[in-house]
Amino acid sequence: MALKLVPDNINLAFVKRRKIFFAISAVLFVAAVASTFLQGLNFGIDFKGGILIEARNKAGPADIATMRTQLNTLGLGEVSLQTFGELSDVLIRVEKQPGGEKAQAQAIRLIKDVYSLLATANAAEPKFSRGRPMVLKGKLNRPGTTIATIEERLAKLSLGRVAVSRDAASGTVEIVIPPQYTDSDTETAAIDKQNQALTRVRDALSVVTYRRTEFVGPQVGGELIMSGIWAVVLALFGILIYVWFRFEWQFSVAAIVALTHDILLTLGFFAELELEFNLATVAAVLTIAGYSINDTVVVFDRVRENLRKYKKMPLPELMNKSINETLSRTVLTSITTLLAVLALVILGGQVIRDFSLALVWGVIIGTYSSICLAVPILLYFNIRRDTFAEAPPEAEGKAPAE
Amino acid sequence: MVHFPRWQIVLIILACVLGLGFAAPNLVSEKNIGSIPTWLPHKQINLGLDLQGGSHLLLKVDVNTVFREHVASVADSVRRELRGARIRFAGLRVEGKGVRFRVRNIADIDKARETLRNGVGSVTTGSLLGGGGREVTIDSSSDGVFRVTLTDDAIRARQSQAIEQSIEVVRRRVDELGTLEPIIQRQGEDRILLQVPGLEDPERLKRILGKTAKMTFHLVDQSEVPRKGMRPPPGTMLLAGDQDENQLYLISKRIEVGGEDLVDAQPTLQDGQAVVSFRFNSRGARRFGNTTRRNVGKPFAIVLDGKVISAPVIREPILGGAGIISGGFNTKTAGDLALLLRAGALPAPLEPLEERTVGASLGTDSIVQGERASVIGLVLVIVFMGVAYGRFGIMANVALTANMILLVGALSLLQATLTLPGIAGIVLTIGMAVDANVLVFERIREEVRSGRTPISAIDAGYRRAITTIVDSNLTTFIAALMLFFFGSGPIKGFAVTLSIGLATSMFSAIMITRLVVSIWLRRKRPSELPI
Repeated sequence: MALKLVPDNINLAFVKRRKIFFAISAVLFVAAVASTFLQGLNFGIDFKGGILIEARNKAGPADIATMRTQLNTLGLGEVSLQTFGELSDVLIRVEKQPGGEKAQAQAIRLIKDVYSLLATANAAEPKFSRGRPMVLKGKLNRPGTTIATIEERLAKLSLGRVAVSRDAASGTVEIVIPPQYTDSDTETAAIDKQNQALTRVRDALSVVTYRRTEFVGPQVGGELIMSGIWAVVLALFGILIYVWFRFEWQFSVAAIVALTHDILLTLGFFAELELEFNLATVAAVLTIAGYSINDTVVVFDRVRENLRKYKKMPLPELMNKSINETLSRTVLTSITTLLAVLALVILGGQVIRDFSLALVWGVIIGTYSSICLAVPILLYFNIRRDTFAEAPPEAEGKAPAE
Repeated sequence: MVHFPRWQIVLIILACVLGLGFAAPNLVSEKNIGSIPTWLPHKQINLGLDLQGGSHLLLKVDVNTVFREHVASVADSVRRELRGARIRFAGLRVEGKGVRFRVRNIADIDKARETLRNGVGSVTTGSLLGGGGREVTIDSSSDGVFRVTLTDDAIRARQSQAIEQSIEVVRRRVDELGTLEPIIQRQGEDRILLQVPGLEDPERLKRILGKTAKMTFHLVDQSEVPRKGMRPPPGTMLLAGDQDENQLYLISKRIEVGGEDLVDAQPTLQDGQAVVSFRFNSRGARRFGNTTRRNVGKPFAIVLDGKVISAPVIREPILGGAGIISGGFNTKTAGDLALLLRAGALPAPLEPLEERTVGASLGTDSIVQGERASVIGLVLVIVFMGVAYGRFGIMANVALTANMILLVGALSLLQATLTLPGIAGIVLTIGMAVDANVLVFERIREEVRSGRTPISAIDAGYRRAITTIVDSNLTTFIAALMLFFFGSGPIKGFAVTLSIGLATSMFSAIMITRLVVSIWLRRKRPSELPI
């Protein structure tokens, strides 16, 4: 009644064809390394610092070309724009600005100015002053904007009487926001309420809504790279020790070779597809390592068991038998994991799409490397059968406990 | 393996019931969560900033400022003590981690050394552990050159103190905003992590934090008339007025009283004018009293963030520790200043290193998409397992469902933060959770093929598969552990859900599925296994 994806007595010659697999892996490996170093990884702001803004155009699909032209006039260096998920959503990436962290904050203000009816970044910050209205100053920015359009937008906010005026000589527009607090409010509460009103005014003047604003300073970026590298190296080391402890050093070296292969192929995948390489990617890499070693250990376990069971069987044959015996499990688990991860790619949203794609790739190469690399590599190490010679904990044919 | 003692059955069922109990509050809407009696589980999963919307700020405490001030205070003490002992010296200046100077008269070397040893040399770092060592070391050479150097311990202790104080000040200022539930943590050597859910405009936060509000009281040096561009005499500095940039003051560098001794500040009216009244603690009161007593008739400057607020003339000694700052305030500016003083001074400026703000709309979208992906992923896996293993697949699906409930229950109970990558971790767990079952079932299939009876096959299947399950899960756990220690924010959240998912999936595969299989065996006593 149950479906069998893998026939019971399957016997595919994995170990015999190991040279082919090694060749395929070597080619992929070289391609991945070349791609990583020549093409370079598309580092996100987590690692190289910079600014990332996700904006949603209020009036429907965004006109990326125009938005790009507008941003390029700011002279902020390298600026990249791309639609993100929906047509109205745009992801803006700006390289890290020369100067300290303050320069980054000013750049964010300038970018936000581009998409506002009123450019305020170069005017003085509105000051809070108890009992007095707050004044936001700026210049009309986008073509076709008049005092009337601004008034119309602000009228919907119900902030009381918001006065908008324009000085004919200088062209400076003043928006006067009346106090939003009562006498009983404490100083901090009053400051906060007034600032909240200011935020709402700014939002209303903007042609986009900001869904995400991130900036990572250069200093933090460098540290995040280091901690990412450490995480990967220590995870590999921990796995090495564990497998050594549970099996033998040969197994542990073979596992690490396979894992390194998986990790580098994942890096190559990111470089080749120009997917963003960020903190989440490091998590994906480690998860792939975790998945791949999980697979590898299952096959190793069977190799160990068979070494005890078939004392006379030649090693290549024994290993091939072990792979085939666990093949059904390997295939089934890969399928269930792929099903879940594919659901994530298709439905999980744009923010983690690259992460999910990496997991799909990882499940595939993790499965491949466990079967076609890790086990055949064992052949080249001198595995001593007597290591596993002691009587297995459950003797053959022993009556079940029940 | 097929037989369960009664107590084990009770424990397994109890674990499932508890899991269900702790997971249940997540089904209640946010509004009604308050109506659950407190003796019942009532905690929902804690959503991370990326799902909830909010601001994340990583701030750096500028310890260089702290260090510069520390050295300046040493220079100040040295100068005062030498003058007090009437030792003539020259060339006092800051050098490296301390100050150097030369006594004019070689005969004064011993006296100077003695004076300094009893003065600055006797100060200890006052750290909690081991009482601390000396704050400075004093070296002198035979030609009369002295070096007074801060010890590394002293520098470290002072910086650590400055960071603690900064955290406290940030906490107080953010707390004054009310309703927000901020997370404020020290990170590493000199950093503060500030996470404020529900706040979508980090500018709002930065405006509150931006002011260092460092208030100090200094005497005014009247030996020269302050002019723009002049070289201030040693020990003094040229500062501008807070209101009027062109009004210059020549201020003694020595801090008579610092803002850290201030205990209260309030805006009040005096003769129809807005002023700020303040009160010192006993130490501040004593210093303030001494200074004002000795300097009646002289101007006394109140300096805030490097600007002179006012420099009123001391009319009489102020011994009670309370005073008034008047400086052309209106009700609003007086209120602002009082607030900043009350919340305490930041010992050093804060610089944002990293800033991440997620809007609530993006957070909500992420939750909806994450939920959809989880549900569809779960359904796909359940259908596949049903097709691949028939009756046993259904049993594994019971365990998979139980696993999800346990996972949600554990996350709620531990109040672990669920982030977007964390949801990915859950989806991945769904896929990998059945692995343990698959391992067992495949093993059972093999045992059946080798001609065992159903009970014997199932027993051997479980017994043999368990070591494999433990080995493979532990290695994945190692990777998750590294993610937890080296990851930050959302990534930590991923590591947490992945680890908890590993634990619950092992439990559900080894205990729950096995229990279901065992009950089925007992009921049906099958002669062959439908696997």
